[in-house]
Amino acid sequence: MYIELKDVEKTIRGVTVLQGINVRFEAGRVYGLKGKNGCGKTMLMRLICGLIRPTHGTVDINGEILGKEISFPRSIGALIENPAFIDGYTGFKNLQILASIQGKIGDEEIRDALRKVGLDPDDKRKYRKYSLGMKQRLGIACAFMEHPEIVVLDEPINALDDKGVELVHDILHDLKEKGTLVIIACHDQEEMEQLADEIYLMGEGKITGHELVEGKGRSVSSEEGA
Amino acid sequence: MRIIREFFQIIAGNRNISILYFLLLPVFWIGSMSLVLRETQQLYLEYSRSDLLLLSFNEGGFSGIVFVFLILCFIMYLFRFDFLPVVLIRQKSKRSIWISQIGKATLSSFSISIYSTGVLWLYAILFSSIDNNWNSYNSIFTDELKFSLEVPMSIWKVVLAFFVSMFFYVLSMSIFYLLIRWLFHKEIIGCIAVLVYILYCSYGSHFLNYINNCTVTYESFVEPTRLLWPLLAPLLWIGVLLGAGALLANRAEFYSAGKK
Ligand SMILES: Nc1ncnc2c1ncn2[C@@H]1O[C@H](COP(=O)(O)OP(=O)(O)OP(=O)(O)O)[C@@H](O)[C@H]1O
Ligand SMILES: [Mg+2]
Repeated sequence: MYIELKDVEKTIRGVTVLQGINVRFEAGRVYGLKGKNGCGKTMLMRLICGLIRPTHGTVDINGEILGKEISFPRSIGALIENPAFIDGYTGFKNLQILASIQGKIGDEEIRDALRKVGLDPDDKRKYRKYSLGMKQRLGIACAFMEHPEIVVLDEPINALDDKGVELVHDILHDLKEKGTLVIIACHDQEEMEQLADEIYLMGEGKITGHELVEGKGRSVSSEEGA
Repeated sequence: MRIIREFFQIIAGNRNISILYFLLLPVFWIGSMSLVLRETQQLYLEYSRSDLLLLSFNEGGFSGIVFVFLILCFIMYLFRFDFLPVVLIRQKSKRSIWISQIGKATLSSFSISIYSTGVLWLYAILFSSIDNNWNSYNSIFTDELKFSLEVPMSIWKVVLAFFVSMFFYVLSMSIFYLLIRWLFHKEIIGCIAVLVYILYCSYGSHFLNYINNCTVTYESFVEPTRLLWPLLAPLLWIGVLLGAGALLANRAEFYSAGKK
């Protein structure tokens, strides 16, 4: 399992939001994306999810070109920016509806995913009444509940309390053990170093640097960026 | 603008909207039927059940808008999941999303038409005791066409024509809404576009007016070609919309996916 982006460029109404992106993500690793607001982290994630198409270049998911052979990656879970669910249903019901699209998992796995993010599967509250952190927890549960090969998390911890952050650590650890390819964006440098194995630095739509976070030993390589 | 959007959101987010729809529809039909009745009484004409069926769908701009509004709420309710990013990434392909949406639209148009036809037919039975009087000199039919039939028309033909035109009307509206959603990814633009589309279809004479199914009239029943065209034209129109949607869906992008 891998994701390979080759010479990817994305222009939206004349504005270049991504440029010259060449990266390869491998299974079983956690990749961090870091950069200023508006540097294109979320756009890169949308691109990998198949929600937008590159203007130039290709996104290769395990040998299949996104937008040609496949519209969306075959096995992906994602939380992109704000979690968006149906307001009038409970968290459990929301996940149930989503799981029914592919029919890969049953109720028990959904309950399991909810417990892992610290939500009560039998909570009768509607999604509308969830707090910000609860919404984010539900979004994370939704991303990994079906045991996808790729998990994309856009700023998963910015509304979470300490307990929530700890849970995310555990979840990422589990995912890695299972050989999942994880891409995560986060603003907190410390958290990022704990969560990710490799960090890509982004600036103005380009990848400007690459850090390896390997236990104690860490090697840093940085290219010149605009 | 914000108020409109919130209003639509409240309605579309309400799980009971379909119940509301099914409760409001009979009230709305009664309104448009009493309009028809008052008009005919002023002209001292006799009306039959067939007239009630035919006229309450074709007459009245105000009732038309109420009806369109109800259908719109229903359509929005039907497709409220479909463009969430969490839903999108679980689909096989963009084109398969479009196809399944068309399936949903067809099924719901069918059930709406069955229900509407049923309700209206019930009212027709309550309001009038004759199935069809198009052979009478004092009928609305004779007043419109300046001649009368030898034998009365079978009411089932009128019911069928009503059902089919209703079906195409709702279906073309849903598909048009979907097309706009795929183009702009905004619920509110879809709603406004459908309202404009329907208003444009209902007033004035132009090609959309012609292919829009309000064309089943009294003439349609005496000239078979006139009945054929109103049935064929919407089909062609829906075909065009379908093709456009299939192309559009495949190229669609979701820049704002995840934004509130
Ligand atoms: N819907 C949109 N249409 C056009 N341009 C957009 C759209 N959304 C974002 N952009 C532009 O794309 C660029 C990258 O935005 P993106 O959301 O990927 O940034 P980000 O790195 O995720 O920032 P943040 O840290 O604030 O989440 C920005 O310049 C932004 O203006
Ligand atoms: Mg972002």
